[in-house]
Amino acid sequence: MRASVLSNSLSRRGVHISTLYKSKFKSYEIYHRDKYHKVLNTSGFLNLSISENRLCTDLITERLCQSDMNYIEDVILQYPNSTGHPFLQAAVAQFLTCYCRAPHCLSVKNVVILNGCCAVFSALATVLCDPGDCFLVPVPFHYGFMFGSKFFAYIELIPVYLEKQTVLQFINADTQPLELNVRKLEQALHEARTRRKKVKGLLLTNPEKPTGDIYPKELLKEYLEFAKRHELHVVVDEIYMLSVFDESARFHSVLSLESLPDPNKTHVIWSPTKDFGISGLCFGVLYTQNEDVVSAMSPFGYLHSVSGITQYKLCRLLQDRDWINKVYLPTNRSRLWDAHAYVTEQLRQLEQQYNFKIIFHNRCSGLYMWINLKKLLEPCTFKEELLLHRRFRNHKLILCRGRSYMFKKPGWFRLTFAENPPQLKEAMHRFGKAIEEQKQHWIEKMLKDAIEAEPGDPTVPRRAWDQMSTSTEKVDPARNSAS
Amino acid sequence: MYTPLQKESRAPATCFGSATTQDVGSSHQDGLERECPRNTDRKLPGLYGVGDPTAMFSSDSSCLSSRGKVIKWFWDSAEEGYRTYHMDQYDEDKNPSGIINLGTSENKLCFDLLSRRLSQSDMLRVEPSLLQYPDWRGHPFLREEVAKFLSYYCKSPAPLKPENVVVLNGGASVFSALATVLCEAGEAFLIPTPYYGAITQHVYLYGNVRLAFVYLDSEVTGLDTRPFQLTVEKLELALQGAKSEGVKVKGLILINPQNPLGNVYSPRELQEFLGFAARHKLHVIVDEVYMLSVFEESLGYRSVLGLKRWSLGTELVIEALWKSWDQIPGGVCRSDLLHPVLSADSVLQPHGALEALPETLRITAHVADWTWPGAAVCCFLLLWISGHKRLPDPQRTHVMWATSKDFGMSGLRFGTLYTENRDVATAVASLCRYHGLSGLLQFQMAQLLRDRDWINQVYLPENHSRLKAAHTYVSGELRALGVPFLSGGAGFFLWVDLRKYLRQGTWEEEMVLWRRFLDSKVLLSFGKAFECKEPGWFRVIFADKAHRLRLGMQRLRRVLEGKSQEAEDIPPHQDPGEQH
Repeated sequence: MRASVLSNSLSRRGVHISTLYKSKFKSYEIYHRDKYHKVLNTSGFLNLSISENRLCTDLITERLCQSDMNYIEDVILQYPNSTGHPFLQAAVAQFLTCYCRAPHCLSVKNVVILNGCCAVFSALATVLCDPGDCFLVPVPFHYGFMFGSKFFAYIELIPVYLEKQTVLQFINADTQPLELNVRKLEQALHEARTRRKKVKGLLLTNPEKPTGDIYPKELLKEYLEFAKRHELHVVVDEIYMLSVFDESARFHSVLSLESLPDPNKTHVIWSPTKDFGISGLCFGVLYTQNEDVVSAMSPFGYLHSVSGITQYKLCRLLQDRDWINKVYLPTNRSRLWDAHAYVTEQLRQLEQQYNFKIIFHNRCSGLYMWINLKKLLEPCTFKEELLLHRRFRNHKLILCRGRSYMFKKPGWFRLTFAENPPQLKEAMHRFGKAIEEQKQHWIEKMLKDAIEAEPGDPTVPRRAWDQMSTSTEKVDPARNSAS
Repeated sequence: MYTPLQKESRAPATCFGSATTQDVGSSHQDGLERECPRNTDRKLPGLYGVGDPTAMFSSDSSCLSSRGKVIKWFWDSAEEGYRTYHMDQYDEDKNPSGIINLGTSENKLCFDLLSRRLSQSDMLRVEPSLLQYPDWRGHPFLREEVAKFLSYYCKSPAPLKPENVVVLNGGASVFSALATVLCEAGEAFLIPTPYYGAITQHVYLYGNVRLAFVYLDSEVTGLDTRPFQLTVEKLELALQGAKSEGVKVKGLILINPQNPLGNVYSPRELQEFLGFAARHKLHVIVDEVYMLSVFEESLGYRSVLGLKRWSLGTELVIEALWKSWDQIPGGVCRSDLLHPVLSADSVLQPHGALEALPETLRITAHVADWTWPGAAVCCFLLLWISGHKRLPDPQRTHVMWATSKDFGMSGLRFGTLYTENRDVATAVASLCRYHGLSGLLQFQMAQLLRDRDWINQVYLPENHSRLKAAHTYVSGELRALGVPFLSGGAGFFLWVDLRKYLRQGTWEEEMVLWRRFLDSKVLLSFGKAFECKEPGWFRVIFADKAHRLRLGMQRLRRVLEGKSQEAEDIPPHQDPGEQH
């Protein structure tokens, strides 16, 4: 009955959209029904799966409450220009010129304002690609981009896998488990073309989302050169531009380059929503020197429009350089740093306590880190990954799992650390409990395997017993503290 | 999934290329529609036609995809007129000889009231949850307010439910999202013309959905009682026409109150159109953005959400049926049989009731131990009642409303969808990440909609009286000029018949006249942008301040008078000095 109604009223793509959304956003909806509150609902869900900066809500709230924000005039209430109100376009151009360290003033007419980066990407992909065309994207990539590509632009995202098994196994502080290089891009492009895919562009995220790494200037240029060689568009998502919290790291925006290999095919996506923790304001920007692209994007201004009131507030915010430089950015950086250090410390303790290796990697930017828990999966499959994800959810903690971000191998989870300290503490506590339970489960499973194993096969039980004995040793807290 | 942008073969009787021009014009929502001079000498449309937005374009931008080029072409062609206006916008002090915009459908009469209300201190709340990712359907507090608001102003028989509300950033997004989730690429919606032309673009950009036109006539013929009257027969014809061309029609779009006609559909007409859609299993999207801008009470406007559930007679029969049902042995435990047909919240469709009847009949006879004729009477009553259901097909009826027009705030981008169909609501909500609106704005909209006192005692009466006054002024001017026009007492516009000012009844001539207006610094919308069947109709906005209206009408008069005297002359260029 239900199914027939569904197919009756929705188009096939409507059914796809619904189904995919329901499967991907189940946790999100559960979370929204039962949110954690420090007084009212202490047993509610904590959500570390959303990439959202909640560390500076106090600062931003205070700023948005100031009287200069509250301003209404005719222009704001009327139909906006489809690429945004000129006053905001100007503010964005000035802001990017300053914070991207652009060699020349960025031009107002290159700025297109829409209601979010996902919207920018889906509109951009629509005007750059025809249905069925492809974009190369390093894995893991933004889920929103995937959804928009599939259901708005009808293009395909071809993952460029960064994982290298050998590196993962022998990781030390200096090697990167996930790194992009031109060789991998060439290989992915070659493979796609062999499969007769029409590759139209490359989507990069800098600071790089998977790892929080920053592309060195040279590497960035190499990627751009690579794209030019193959006549590809390059879309660079710089949404975490100001969330680089390690003072020693220096972020190089594409817009800071003196000259671009192919300026007509280089497009930058940016939004202050992550850096300022205002994802609820729904706002994203495209900066492109290509006039054709700007005018082709314009009709989308109505489908992805931003309220005049919001545009005005954002304009005031971006113009307040004093507050940004003296109050917001320093505080934000130090809070991000602290939160990151806290989570890193917690993960290390868990590693020691349960004697297993968590591979995690975050250097200096962004709001979250990817961690690999494959040592807790037995067998190491996506099914087990899902079960572990559920285990976290049973402990009222929501994380993202790698499968949703197209990881090739199971075990990856994404953990947002830009959460208020009390909530973060509680979340890490729940994380620890879930890990403990998972470890227990793992031990039991090993034990069961060992018992069930054929007596003649010496390898399985021994391996299991060996690992278990080391684990139990380490779980003993007395022994831990003694050493 | 996406149909390649190929020019398709077309039947000669229809007017396909026109969709493109109309598209072009509609890029700026209402009003700033532009005709493209390339599109001339085309045969006048017959009774129906299917728009093909890709049929007419040529462009060469190397970096764009082929659809990107089409989209850019839409835009550039529209841009021409829009740019002219924006570069030379009228300002009382700074640019008194600038262009007066009587083309964009915006209510500029109540900015004072609105800005005062929106600046009040209750609007200024900022809290973390408003700054963070929301529930994509819209913040629950807002959906609740929208449901209450619509229940009240649509006079819905039962309270509307917040879970049926989805909040998006404007009506354009509602159309786009619905087109995507209801149709496959290449399928079509039926729409009576003239209509608000921007819809073509909204359903095409992402959804790749087309429009099948139901061409309406300005001449009153047959049983019609008014010009451009929509009837079920015309809908049937257009539907058959589209089918005969192999176009799959998935739904019907109704704009009520109508844009650009300024009229409303009567409840009876609405029921008929909805019945037509139900018979053909078509979705109906009812665009009610001018719901509260009906300034003539006598029109008797009724929202689809407010269609009466039953007549009084029906109610009495239902009550009697329930009572007798309860009294018969075994009746109480089989009340599930009656429920689907009688319960107020039933979503059962009329044909569904019909299908269920034989079974109901059999069991009724069995349970009640009635005679077959008795059961038959009972079932006849049931059938009759099911024919009186509130909406013929509530699962396929989707209502759109936005604050843009009724609250004169097109720049705030707030629109809502109300649908009882949970699957549709969920599917649209799945796309809301791309059509989201600021949490702060959501809070403000909730505050606004909640303030029933202000709306009822301050805003609506004042707005209506200002609309009425402006309407009276402009229609008086037009009458004085001897220009015929249609106006129903709803919306911000008059649908003006300037056919006698065209040298020939061609689209090219319509364009010439339109340019002449623009040269005289008054911007109007031409009929082609609304896919009107006959050249020579223009939409004139009257919801503007008195001084601008006066000047606009002066300029309009000058063009028309000059035109009628020297019909063969080259359009005179206005001396910029003379407006001082």
